[in-house]
Amino acid sequence: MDAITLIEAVNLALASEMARDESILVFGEDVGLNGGVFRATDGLHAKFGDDRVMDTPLAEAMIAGLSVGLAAQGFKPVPEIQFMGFVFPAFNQIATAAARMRNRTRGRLSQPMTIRMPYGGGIHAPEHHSESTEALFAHIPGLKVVIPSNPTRAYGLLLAALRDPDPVLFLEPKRVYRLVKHEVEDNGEAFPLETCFIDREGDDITLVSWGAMMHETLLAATELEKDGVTVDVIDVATIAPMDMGTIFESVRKTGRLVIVQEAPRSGGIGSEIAAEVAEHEIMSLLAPIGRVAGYDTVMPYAKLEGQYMPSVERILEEARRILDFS
Amino acid sequence: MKTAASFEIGYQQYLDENAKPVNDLPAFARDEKSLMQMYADMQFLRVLDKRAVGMQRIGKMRTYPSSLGQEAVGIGAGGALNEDDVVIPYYRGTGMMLSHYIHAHEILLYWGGDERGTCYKDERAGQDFPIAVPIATQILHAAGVATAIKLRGEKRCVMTEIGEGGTSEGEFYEGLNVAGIWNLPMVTIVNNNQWAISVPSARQTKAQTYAQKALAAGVDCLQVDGNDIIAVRDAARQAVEKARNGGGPTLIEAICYRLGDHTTADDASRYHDPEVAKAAREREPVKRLGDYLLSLGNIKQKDLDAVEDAAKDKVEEEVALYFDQLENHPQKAADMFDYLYAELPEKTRPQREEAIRREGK
Amino acid sequence: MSKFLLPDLGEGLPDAEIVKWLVKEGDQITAGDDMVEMSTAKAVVEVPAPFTGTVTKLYGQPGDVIDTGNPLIEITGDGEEAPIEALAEDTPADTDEVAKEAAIEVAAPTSAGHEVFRLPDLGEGLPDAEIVQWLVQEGAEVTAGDTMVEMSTAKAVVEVPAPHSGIITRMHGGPGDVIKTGHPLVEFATGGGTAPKTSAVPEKSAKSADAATVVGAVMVGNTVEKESAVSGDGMKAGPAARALARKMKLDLSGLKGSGKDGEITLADVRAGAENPSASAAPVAATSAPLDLKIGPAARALADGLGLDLSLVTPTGARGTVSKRDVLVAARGMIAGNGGAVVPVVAPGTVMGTVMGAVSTAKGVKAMPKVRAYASQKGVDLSRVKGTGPIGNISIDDVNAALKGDFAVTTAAPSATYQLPPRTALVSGEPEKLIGPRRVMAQAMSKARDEVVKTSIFDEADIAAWVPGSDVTARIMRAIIAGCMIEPAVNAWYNSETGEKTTHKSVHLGVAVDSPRGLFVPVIQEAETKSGPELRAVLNTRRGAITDGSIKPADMSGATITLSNFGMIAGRFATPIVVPPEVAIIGIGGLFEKLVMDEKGIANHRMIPVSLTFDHRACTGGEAARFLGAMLADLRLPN
Repeated sequence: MDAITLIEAVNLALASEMARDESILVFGEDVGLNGGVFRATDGLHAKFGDDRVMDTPLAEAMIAGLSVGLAAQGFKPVPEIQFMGFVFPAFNQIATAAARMRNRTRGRLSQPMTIRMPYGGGIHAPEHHSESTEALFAHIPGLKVVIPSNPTRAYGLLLAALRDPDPVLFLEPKRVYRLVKHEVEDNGEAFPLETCFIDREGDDITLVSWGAMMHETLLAATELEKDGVTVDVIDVATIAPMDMGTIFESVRKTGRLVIVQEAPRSGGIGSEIAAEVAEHEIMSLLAPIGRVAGYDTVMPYAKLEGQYMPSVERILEEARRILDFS
Repeated sequence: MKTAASFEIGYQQYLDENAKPVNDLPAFARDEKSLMQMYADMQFLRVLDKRAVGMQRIGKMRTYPSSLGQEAVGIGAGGALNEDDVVIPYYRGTGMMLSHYIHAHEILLYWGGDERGTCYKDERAGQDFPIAVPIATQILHAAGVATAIKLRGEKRCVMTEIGEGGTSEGEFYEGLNVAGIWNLPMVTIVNNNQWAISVPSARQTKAQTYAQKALAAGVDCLQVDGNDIIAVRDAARQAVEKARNGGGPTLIEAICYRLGDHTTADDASRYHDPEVAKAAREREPVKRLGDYLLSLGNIKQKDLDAVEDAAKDKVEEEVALYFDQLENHPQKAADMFDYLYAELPEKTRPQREEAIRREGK
Repeated sequence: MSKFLLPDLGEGLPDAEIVKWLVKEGDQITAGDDMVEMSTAKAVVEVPAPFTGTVTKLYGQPGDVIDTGNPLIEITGDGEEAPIEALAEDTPADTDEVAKEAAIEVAAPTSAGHEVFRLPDLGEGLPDAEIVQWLVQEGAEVTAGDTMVEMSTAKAVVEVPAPHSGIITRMHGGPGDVIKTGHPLVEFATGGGTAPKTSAVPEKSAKSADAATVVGAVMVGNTVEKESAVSGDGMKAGPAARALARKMKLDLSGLKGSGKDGEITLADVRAGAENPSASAAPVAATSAPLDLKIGPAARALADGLGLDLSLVTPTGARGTVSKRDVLVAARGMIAGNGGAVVPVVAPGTVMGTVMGAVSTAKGVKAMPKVRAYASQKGVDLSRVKGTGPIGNISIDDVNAALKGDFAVTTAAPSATYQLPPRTALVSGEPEKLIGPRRVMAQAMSKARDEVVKTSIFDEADIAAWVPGSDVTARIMRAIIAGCMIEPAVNAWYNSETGEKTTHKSVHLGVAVDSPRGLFVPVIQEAETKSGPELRAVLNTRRGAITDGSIKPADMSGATITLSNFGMIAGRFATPIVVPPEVAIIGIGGLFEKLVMDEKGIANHRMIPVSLTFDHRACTGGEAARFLGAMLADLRLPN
């Protein structure tokens, strides 16, 4: 078993499932011969040919709209939107067609598609290439939003997305595309969606995050452990629909919760988690719910990016504030 | 300066404004029975629209878009489809939908606010889409379905429709572009009824014709007289055959006039020129075909009236079905949740329970 | 002399190829003049001279690829010699270290004679490289350009040439060691004078991959991590298998692990779901005894009291256990076996105290969990000092209040209490009251605060008793008889709600003295028992108190209490009515009295009876009627 990066795990899952399921089509800009600008679809065109791996013209709405038609016809489109910053023209098709086709035809037509896109900041890219707008999609009923945080999860969750009968947005945190390697076995086992993953167990405080921020969150947990604090670290993974049960159970145990997100603070997924915990587990809380998030500003250009992104220090500060409360 | 490219847009008409043939009619149009069927189909649509608008005025129907004056476009094009072709209609696509096994009462249910209207019970309409509300999104859906057909190597095509105003949308161009470059089996009908709500065609685009927009994508195109159902049907049949046989996409611009309001929520008298509208009424398609049929000598006015009466009866049957579904078997609160995903997420189940608990209160 | 390092010409590009030099060695060049054309992945770019001076060295020829951060040209100048930095962009705080390392340039000779060569960035922002094998040894003489070591990066094995000629004095690390970019790799003793001849680029044996990103720079890491497969429950299963088990509500302990070292894999979990005999996970997160419906707050209260839930009688809607039910069951609960120091909630005090704590908690700064804890412990939060930053009260503050300060649990605030000064005459040591004694102090204080006590005294003439009568049994029976005639004293009064509950059944509390303190076991449904039966039960209770096995249920629920102090000493007394009861009977020592009867003066044995009742709930008449009935029964022969 080779140790592979997250992007290689995406590639592995795609190749693996495309061999099993002929209805899967991969298309988008530069995904064919070039293998994708991040090499996510490397080698797929050579393996599966023109009819299953297609380079499209440069038109995101078209890519998404095509997926709607193909999915209604029984294919499993796996389009790539090259960057989340470019998804907005496709947003129309995703929100007005893909999300609701099953509902408006009362189950007659469905949309088993997986839309992949790299998202998030931290690679010093030009403007518009670093946003985290997962909350916009999570807010639309009928969609699912899945974010892997490491190569193992990228493989298992992507398989699950590919097999899901409903439209899934598979957001890949590009900052950690190659940061870490895992030994991933190509065993075709899909991970469960709508389920959180627990990466560390402890009694004193719960840290919840997803995507690239899991990296910083786990580093913060290690620091806290040096102070004798034990930490429950939870990876949400499926942002919508979210598994609240695991988070509730953890808060019941620790009484303290800090949510870490790269996306802007207001109206983000952290807000939803905080509201749910306050509603259902108020009696378990020993301190207010803390949030570490990006600022409510436009994502800065590369020079200021480092000041925007939540760091291990910011997480530690917030965690300690919550630990020390009352 | 050399000429890099030049173009010509063809215009097709068989019956002129006075219902006189200006060209040899195609074979199907020399068959009176076939013409009578087309007449009956247009009448059904007209009667249905009138009934629906009437229902809306008395609170029995929500916003409804009538096809008054444009019946030849939807019925003309839609009637060229085969059972196994796929329809991706636009919001004023009633004629095309009726032509492809979608029931009138289903259309009424949709506009009446009931999702069961897009269930499409007839198997032959099983792959057809619901109407597209966001303008021009249907063009890309059609391209997607056409891509599926092409990948599977099937002998089928997709037909879609859009108003001339809709052709200003980006997704229209994106759809045509990919249809052209991927040679998709797709027939796009542009219903140029001269009005995009209150915006007249003259202010919609600088292009001389809407058809020529297809040329920008390298797609074959032509104009037809949208008031002449024979012209529409003929062009559509050819385009459908071509697409089904791997010949690629076609765009047909059908020119007519929107005699009614944009929808029941609109008042066209605010912006229609009454003289222009009056003249348009003289050219309208049902009258044109009717006049032509009368001119053949075998069919009398009473026969045409009988067709209208028969249409009224059939429409009443459909209206009855509509009311029965809507009022005697209304949907339940749980229906809001049960078709959202293949399996309702756990997080949402308490909301479903709450909605059921509150039902009817 | 200044060495100019190739800047990052694009967005995180790792290198660029020389297309054409526009100057040659020896030329004069002015800052800003174009000096070379370089080709990047995207375009051909002209690089201007960074400052004015004479070109002394060109590093590489057309076709050579120069890595970002490596020397490109040397210009000797006296003009504006602004030090040139590679245009490395700022990096997020947590990758600072790596970025700094990546930006560290290959060191120029620091001093004649000795020099440290640091590992350059061999690729696109690579943080380190692993030594594969050294091709030189310490002490060997090398010429600039000779290959000295093979290093393995994320992408390829790379040969690193000697940057200078000289003698190798030190090699940092051996095969397999990972050296961080920018850290020392090899040290030389140089003779000085030899112009360093750096080869333009280490040869890459693999095909040069591009940056594999169309914008920005994607950090490449080499660390292989692994998801942890252990957890507090000791079972070997990774996060994904656990997540799936949770989703399918399966208990991991019921699954067979087919992975390495018995690890439970995803496939095992799925197989377990197919097989229904695999144990389903317990449904609720809290482990409720089966068939018992109890909400979290009531459960938390029971947990805090150390109460066995099986002893609780549910009275809530649909058979749910309410907090009140828990409190009722907890009345009279004693410290656990073995002397565990769980503060006892005294009989009769719990309800009033708890309600007081909850209702006076308004405006107090305490989180919900702290409030719940305080209410379990019977602590009035308005009297607790909060030590938090905004005066908020923590669980520790509540505990501190419980340990030290009795004032916290009483209604009446007391003035600061001063003990006499400690002198040599003070011969005792202060001992904190714990367990039953502490509870008694609390309960009696509470009683004093609330009860309006009134006492009636009388003597029962027991001259007619048959010989061998069991005095205590007769007394108990008499009390029961009195309750049957006048049930008004066999009742509970709730001052908060103003409700009086008159009981039909007599649950007789009998005060029992023990070295550990005062205990009041209860004989339930005493009215159904004969004298001997009463005696038997009392003995059982006494025995259970002595050996510590008394059950909480047998220590709670008394409707009226007997305090038989006379066995020790004393005649009449005013024993304390403990809420919610409304009456207590005190029996003093039997005495003989000369009385006048029909035969003349006789010596009769008498039992002194004291009745204290709560005049809020009972009238004098009711009390007297009860007393009369009790005395009447006592006077009977048997």
